[in-house]
Amino acid sequence: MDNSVYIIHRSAIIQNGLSEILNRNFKCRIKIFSSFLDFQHAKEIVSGTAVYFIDEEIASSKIFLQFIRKHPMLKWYNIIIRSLSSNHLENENFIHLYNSSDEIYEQVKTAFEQTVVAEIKSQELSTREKEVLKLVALGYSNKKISDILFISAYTVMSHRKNITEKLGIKSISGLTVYAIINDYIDTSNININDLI
Amino acid sequence: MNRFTKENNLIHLIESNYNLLPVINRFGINLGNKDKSIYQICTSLDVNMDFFLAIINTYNNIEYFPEKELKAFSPLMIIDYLKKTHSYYIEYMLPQLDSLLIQLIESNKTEIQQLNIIAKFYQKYKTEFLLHMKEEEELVFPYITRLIENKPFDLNYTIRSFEKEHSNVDIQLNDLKNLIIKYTEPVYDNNICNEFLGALFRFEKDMKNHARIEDKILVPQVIEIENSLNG
Repeated sequence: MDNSVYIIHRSAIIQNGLSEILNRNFKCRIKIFSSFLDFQHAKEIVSGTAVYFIDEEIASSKIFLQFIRKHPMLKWYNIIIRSLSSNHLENENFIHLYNSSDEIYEQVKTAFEQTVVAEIKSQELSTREKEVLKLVALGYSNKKISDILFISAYTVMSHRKNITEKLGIKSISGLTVYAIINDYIDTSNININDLI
Repeated sequence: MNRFTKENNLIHLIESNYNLLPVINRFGINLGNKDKSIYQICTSLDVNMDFFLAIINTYNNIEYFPEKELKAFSPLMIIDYLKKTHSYYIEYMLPQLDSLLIQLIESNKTEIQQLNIIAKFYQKYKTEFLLHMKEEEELVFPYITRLIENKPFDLNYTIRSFEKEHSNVDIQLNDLKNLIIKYTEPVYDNNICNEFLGALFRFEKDMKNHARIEDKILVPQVIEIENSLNG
């Protein structure tokens, strides 16, 4: 598996120490940046999945929060390196400066596993998308589908775009075949030749 | 990637890319030429060597598409080549796909009917594709020929009216591949399926090249002629 890790931290000790622990335990590509600005300049913007180790100060900075907002598709697993054993938010992914290498290993392993799950999951159709797909397969127009599901025509179009992206099937008849072979529509009373 | 030149012999071409075999045949060139160079073969068979090399090289390398050079060839020569690729599809590719698909369905010993649905999709694709080629052969190509030969032609018709149609057949071919590779239960003989998919990939590649020559070369050539007549 090709995992990417980004370490964005001021401290050379943390950069190198963390790389050492990761290299010992994982097969991954590690990139190190001393500041968030360096990271942005490197134009390393990743489309796939990656784990990010972020300096505590950077993680709470405005520029970083803006960046996350701008890239909602990126899967961030911010493991914040805390220098104090003080408060932290319950739902935050973080590692502590005094964690053992085993503890760090466990954290990172979980993060990698989560990214894989997230990747696989995103290809599955949502319930709503399945409903839209079913109606598309039955030959309904966007207008009709929006009436049946009480959603706007724009939303129908947006669902259709996502369905096509997720499945890799573009033509209406191709989508119909997909719906039939996955039993989304009951074909016992329909002539399939009329649909495809 | 290296480009083929007139000094190369046929075996060099084929060893570099054996998918070029049917393309070579389209020019009326057969095998058994010993060590003759492309120059010698083209001269002896009266094949336009520059056109042959341009087509072979664009087919071989997706990055290589010398629009200017290709546009300098006569549209009639391009039409002749396109017609030959049509015959290749109609006489060889489609029947081969038909027969492999039948074999694939017969290799399924379960009750699962997915492949039959896929087959209906393929049949529909094929019907549309045949119609598309028929229109080109009966309407578009004759229109262009008359235009070039300065014969009277239908003024209501322009080349722009058929420009859009390619994309649809491409999309369906890609969907067919995806449906089989990703979403169909593998209740068939793997070897037959691999053969079917291999044929689909070859067909798709050939079609893309065919469409590229039509859309990027022939259509702009004809638009230019139309403009010069209207202007």
